[in-house]
Amino acid sequence: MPALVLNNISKRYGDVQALDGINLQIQDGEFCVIVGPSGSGKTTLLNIIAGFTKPDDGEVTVDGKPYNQLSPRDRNIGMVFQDIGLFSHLTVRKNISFGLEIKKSSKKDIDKRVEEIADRLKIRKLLDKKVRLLSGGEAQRVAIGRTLITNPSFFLFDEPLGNLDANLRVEMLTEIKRLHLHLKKTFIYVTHDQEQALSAASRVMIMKDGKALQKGPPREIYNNPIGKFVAEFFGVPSMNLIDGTIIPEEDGSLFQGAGLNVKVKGYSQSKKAEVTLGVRPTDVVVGNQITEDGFGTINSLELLGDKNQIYLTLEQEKSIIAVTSPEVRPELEERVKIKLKENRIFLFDRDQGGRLYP
Amino acid sequence: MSERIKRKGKIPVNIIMLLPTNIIILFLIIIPTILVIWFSLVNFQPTFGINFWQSKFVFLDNYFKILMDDEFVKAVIRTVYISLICLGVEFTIGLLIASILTGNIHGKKILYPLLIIPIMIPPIVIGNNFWLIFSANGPVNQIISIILNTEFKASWFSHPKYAIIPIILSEIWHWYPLTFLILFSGLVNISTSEIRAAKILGATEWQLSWRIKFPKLKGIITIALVIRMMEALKVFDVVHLLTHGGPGTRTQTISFYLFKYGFKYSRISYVSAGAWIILFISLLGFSLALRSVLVERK
Amino acid sequence: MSDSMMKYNVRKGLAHIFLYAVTASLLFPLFWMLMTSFKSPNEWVTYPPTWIPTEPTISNYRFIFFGSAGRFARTYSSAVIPYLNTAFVAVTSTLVAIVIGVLGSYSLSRFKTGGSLTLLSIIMPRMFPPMAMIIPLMIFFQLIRAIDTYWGLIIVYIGFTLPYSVLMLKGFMDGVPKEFTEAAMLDGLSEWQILYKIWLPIIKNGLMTTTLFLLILNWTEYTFALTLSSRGVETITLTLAKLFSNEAGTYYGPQSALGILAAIPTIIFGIFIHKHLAYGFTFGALKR
Ligand SMILES: Nc1ncnc2c1ncn2[C@@H]1O[C@H](COP(=O)(O)OP(=O)(O)OP(=O)(O)O)[C@@H](O)[C@H]1O
Ligand SMILES: [Mg+2]
Repeated sequence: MPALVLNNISKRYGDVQALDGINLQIQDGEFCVIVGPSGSGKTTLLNIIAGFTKPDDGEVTVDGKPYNQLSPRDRNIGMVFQDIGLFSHLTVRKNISFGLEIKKSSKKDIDKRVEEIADRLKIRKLLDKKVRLLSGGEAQRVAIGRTLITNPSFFLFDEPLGNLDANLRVEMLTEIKRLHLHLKKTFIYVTHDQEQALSAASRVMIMKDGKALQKGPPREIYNNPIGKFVAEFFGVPSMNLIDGTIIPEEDGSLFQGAGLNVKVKGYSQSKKAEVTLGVRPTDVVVGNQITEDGFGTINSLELLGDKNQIYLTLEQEKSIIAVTSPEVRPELEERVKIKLKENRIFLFDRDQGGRLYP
Repeated sequence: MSERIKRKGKIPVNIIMLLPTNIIILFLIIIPTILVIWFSLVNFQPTFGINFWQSKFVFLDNYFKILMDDEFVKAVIRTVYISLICLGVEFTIGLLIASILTGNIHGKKILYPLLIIPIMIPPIVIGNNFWLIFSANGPVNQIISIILNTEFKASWFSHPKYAIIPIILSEIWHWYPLTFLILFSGLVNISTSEIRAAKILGATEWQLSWRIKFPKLKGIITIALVIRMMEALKVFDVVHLLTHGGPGTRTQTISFYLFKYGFKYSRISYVSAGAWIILFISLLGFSLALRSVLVERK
Repeated sequence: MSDSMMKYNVRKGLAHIFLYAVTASLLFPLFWMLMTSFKSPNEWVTYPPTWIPTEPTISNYRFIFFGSAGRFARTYSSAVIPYLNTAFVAVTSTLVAIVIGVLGSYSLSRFKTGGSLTLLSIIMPRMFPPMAMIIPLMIFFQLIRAIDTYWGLIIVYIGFTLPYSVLMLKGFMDGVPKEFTEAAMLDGLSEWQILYKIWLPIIKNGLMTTTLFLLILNWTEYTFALTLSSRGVETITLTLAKLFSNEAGTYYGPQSALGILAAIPTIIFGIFIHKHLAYGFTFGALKR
């Protein structure tokens, strides 16, 4: 039985449809990541799960129990807020112990738990500091520590916008993943940065404008995006998207755009159409020994050791990225042949964004 | 910065800017204050026909005399207790309205300005207002009659025990918006995440108030208390208008006492000594209150 | 509907009823005054009192505007002059106190001139019983012939609202972000220009709040007017007190009319600034 079920959750704020019929089932012990651009409704969804916001429609069920009427206090959830929200008038120690102090646990128990948690999160030295003096990363650790103390059955993390730098984000995520392995509880993690999601999640939900565009294991979403938005949003570096025309041929179709002529064997249709072709940077082959789909000029080159990241300009000033093995070392400004891996091509409807092929 | 303001041979701009303030404060406040010190130490009374700088120096005599004056001591005690009642009631009302209004209330935008109207009304108009509703044939007597179901017709303002009630009520009415305003803004300013964090950790409404809201509001509550207390110690207009301190001296407050002895009886030295005693008492109280805030902030 | 949902709704309903009831009863005195101001003399003291005037009349307002002639035991002159007096004295002293206060608070907020000692010397006077200050002021004013004059009263009002002006404005100014000032300094603006072109636009709301707040204080002032200028400058509060004294004590109608007229400007000012008032009152201790 799934631990958490969201059934058709909708929420409206004035003219904004913050959530629009969200369905999600999360298994016990899962690490589910929710990604989406700013304003897509991620925080709103967490607030509904936690019980701070009442949905206009739909149901939250936990372990088969309807949760809608339960106050946040009774939900046994741990939550780390987007703006962290540490109790600014208390010390780190008092912040962490808050959950037990209000339950009137004995001082000895509280101290023991606090120290345990402080050790796990490596914040022992900070315990007697005022929280105002903490750095962004430290504050987040304390916020995690604060939720741990009551032993909640599942955890909601809303990643802070912008106040952690990239390195710190990775570090925090590693931390949270370790925590997940250790606690074996259900985690729901909201992030803006899908690279993280890819590496951490057992399941990902991609949101846009209050809708869940796609759900599934990260690999599956990566290999099989349902539309242009998901394709571009998910994956680092982003999928290359090239606008062009699809022309019917005898065995399949021919894509023409930005100076490329790409044969798409598996796709056949009766008339010409405006489409967008998508291809992952790792599926762009650069070299001289190949039968080319077209040409590009090397714009810049990043040698990353295990791979090279090549920025190319096609005709009509269209830029794309190719990720190749380290042996491929073209010169700057060199004109090179380009080939797109045949069975790794996506075609999307130019206007609607829906996937046409495969 | 210091280079900019301390150019040679020129008065620094920050001093120039503060100069008008200092001049006004000096002439209207510092010099009179020094005069009050002098008055309090001599025996000066305009009716004696002796200039104040030639008056006889009596050192602390006035202080001793006024402290022995039963009427003065009673006025001080009365003012303090009026202030305490006012503060207590105002905080209760203010907090109650503020916490309800922070919720999801329809018509919030209209209620809020309506609720703070009393603080904008001239005290003398408030006096007048309470004079009307507490008059013998006024609505207060009418409502009490209806509730008690017997004819009730008190003459509030000349009643030895009741006379203080309209005065206290008018003070409360005038000033509750201050505490309400400050508490409301304070409550609204507490970060939503902190409140939510506490809730999800299992805090009850009571614990939320006691452990999160109150400690966070402590600073501004103290400030509100001090400001309010400062004003409460000055209650004059309403007393002067409604009861003239009467019947007898039953509603006499410090300010009214000072007014009576200063202006009616011209006992300038006496009144000056009284003023210093009051300033001393209030400073003591405020410094205790304010210290807790200042210590907190560091 | 579920049980807890019902409980929630009941609680919410009760909160609404309670709040509306409290608001209504808190506004009752004003309502009463407004109603009385439209009552004719025979309704002023009838018992039981009428809540709504049975024959509404504007004669009370006429009394206030034109004075009384014959109908009452004593002749009262029109309240128009006191009204104008009040407006003149309050507006003038407020404007001056604001200009001086802006300069002073800028100096305090930007340069921390004199440190907390200066601040203390500014706030201290507010704690001193004004009644005690009036006596030396009277002596001083007699010396400089300022008793019972417009300018004397104006100066006193300036002096006694200045602490509020400086402290409130300083509270607002302390909230001006450093970056603005630094950028302006790099552009080579003088301190006067920084104040005028950068800070004042930023604290616009605060400036308005402080101005209207001082205006309310000055408009409603009674003690100084009573003791220092009652024979030369009659302000509206004095007129009202006069209407009150002795045999006039039961002129409920005109009193109410004048009370309403005296309160209207301050209520309007107050409504304008109600959003920022709390911030001003706590002198910036409250964050926005
Ligand atoms: N209390 C509210 N009142 C009105 N509109 C709201 C409220 N809360 C959220 N919204 C709106 O709902 C939409 C979704 O907001 P939400 O905070 O859930 O986005 P998000 O995905 O968390 O964005 P971000 O990544 O920036 O945190 C936004 O358009 C937002 O403006
Ligand atoms: Mg968010």
